[in-house]
Amino acid sequence: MKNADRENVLLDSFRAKVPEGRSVMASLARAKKVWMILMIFGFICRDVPISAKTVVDAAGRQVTAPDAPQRIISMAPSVTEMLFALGLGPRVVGVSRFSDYPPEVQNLPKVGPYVDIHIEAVLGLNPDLVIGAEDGNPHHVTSKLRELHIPVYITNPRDFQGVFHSLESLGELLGAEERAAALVGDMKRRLECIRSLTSGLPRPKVLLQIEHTPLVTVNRDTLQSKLIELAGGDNPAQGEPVHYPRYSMETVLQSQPDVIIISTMLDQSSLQSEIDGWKRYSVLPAVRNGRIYAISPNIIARAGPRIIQGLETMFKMIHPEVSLDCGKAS
Amino acid sequence: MIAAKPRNILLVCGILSGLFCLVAALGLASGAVPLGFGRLWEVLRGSSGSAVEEMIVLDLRLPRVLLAGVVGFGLGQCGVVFQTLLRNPLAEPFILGISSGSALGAIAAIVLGLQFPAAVSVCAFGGGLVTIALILGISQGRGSMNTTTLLLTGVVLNAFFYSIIMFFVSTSTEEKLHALLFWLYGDLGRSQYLHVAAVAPVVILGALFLYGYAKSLNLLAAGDEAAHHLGIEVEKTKIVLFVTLSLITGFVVSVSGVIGFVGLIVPHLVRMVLGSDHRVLLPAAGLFGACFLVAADTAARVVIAPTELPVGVITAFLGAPFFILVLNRKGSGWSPS
Repeated sequence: MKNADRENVLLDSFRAKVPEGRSVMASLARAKKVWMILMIFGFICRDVPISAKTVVDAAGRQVTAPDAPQRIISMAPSVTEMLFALGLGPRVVGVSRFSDYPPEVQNLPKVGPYVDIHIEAVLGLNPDLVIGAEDGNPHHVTSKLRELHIPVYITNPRDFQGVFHSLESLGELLGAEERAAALVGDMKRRLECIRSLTSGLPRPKVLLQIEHTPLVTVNRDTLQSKLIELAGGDNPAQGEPVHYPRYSMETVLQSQPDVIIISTMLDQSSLQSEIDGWKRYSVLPAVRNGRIYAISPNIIARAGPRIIQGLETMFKMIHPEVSLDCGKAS
Repeated sequence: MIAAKPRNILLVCGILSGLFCLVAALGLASGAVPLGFGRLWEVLRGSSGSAVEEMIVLDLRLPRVLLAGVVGFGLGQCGVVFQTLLRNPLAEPFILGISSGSALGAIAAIVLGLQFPAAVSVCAFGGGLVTIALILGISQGRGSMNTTTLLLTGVVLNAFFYSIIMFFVSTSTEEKLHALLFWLYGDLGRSQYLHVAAVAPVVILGALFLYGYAKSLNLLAAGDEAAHHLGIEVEKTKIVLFVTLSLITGFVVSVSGVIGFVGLIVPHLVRMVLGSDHRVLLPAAGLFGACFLVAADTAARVVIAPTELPVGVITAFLGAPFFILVLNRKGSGWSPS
């Protein structure tokens, strides 16, 4: 029902209630006043902007967003990276706390860490579209924002296919289809290249260490583990029941990883001491052969456009014997 | 109840030492990579022919079992003396806030990312020392070592330090959270021979020193007044003992984190069975504490292998039902006199 209709019905019901015997003029004057108030009320409450479209997001919800949103807030580092890669950076007015790429986001207002978005900070930036990630943003935050009539669009990138889909649907939603198509095309080409290079190669065991005390690794449901598989390695902890299992050193010694990749937030000097710490386990092939590497968690843990970079870096670590070159064939 | 004759004391210590050897062997044989006793024997003799298994037993499990033994021994003994000195069955080594002071030191080191060698342990120990100084300062300020003042000071310091810890926990990045929580629950996963070498001398010397006070403790258990009439310098003895206990606790917590429950239930269990003569109670509680913690840590390594639990989760989870069972059958046996 349109707002105007709603007001008319209300007005009619009001008229019907006017007691008989009162002056018609007086009741008309009151009706006019009420009608004015209702008009103003309706104007304030209008929840649908004039130029808008309705799409379905990755959480399966209908989202009505402005045709060309100008004040976008990103609630996850992966979303921030996708928006900037699509050239939509100038329209982003706020980002989640750990969004740190590309460098220009560092000057943007922060709305709290993605697991604990501050709703007031979001409101304060007066967004016309908020974009989040299913895997991370809590539901109570997204539903509260919807209650407050702020359009919330949820993406759900968990692997390459998910990133492709998210980039394409964000491109469509925000009018950057061409850029999205080019980006996805480039990523697909590079992914295909790695696929063709790794097929038939031996698959070394690759232990990914995401935390040092205690040692924590990843199971097969994580993006990081999928990247190990794509890069031509096997994750010895793939069958663990939780995403980020604490792994005992005994199990590491028994599983005999050929490659160890450290992916923590450590700075350079403590990273070096972490690598040195592995040296006492000389029974491990990875240690004997000096195959301990470090990679930034930002390019393998964030399901954004840079995962292709993460994949290529991992491929070079896991298969240094193969040059990353698909020639003109690809 | 056992009379404190030298023969009885030796017998009790012998039995408990035998139990410790059994538990330690079990601890060395089991883990994420189960070995069994036969294979363990081969590894220990150096005839296993498997470098991996040797490393698992000698570099990972042995320091861990030893450290669990030392830590359990220290916590058990300190628990006994704290309960007697404070004349309170709820007392345990962490009651005066030393644990949370140490935990705060450790967590500050983790959050600030301090990198010098053994930074976390050193800061934990420092935190414990500061707490002792605070407690002694505060309770001395009123002129005498009043038990109630000490207890209240400890409880309040605990609460204060925990509020700072919670501040760190709620503002820390996700990456550091795991390390913080494992520290708060108590964890022996980082055990190295270095830790054993640092803590074992303190615990052993401390045990000998405390044993020298066994008779005084028997008298103090009867109450300050009575002890005074029987010729004990109550104030001085208490201060000396508190400082000793705090040092032992500080060292122990600095390598293991806050392992709860051991220092509370081990003294009670031993007291229920052997009576409250400190000449028996002290060594027995130490040895039984060692057995208990080694067993609990073995369980922590095995129950959801290859993942590990913090040992503090096991000590309370197994300890509480066991304790209630014994409490039901034997009564608390709590009569510090």
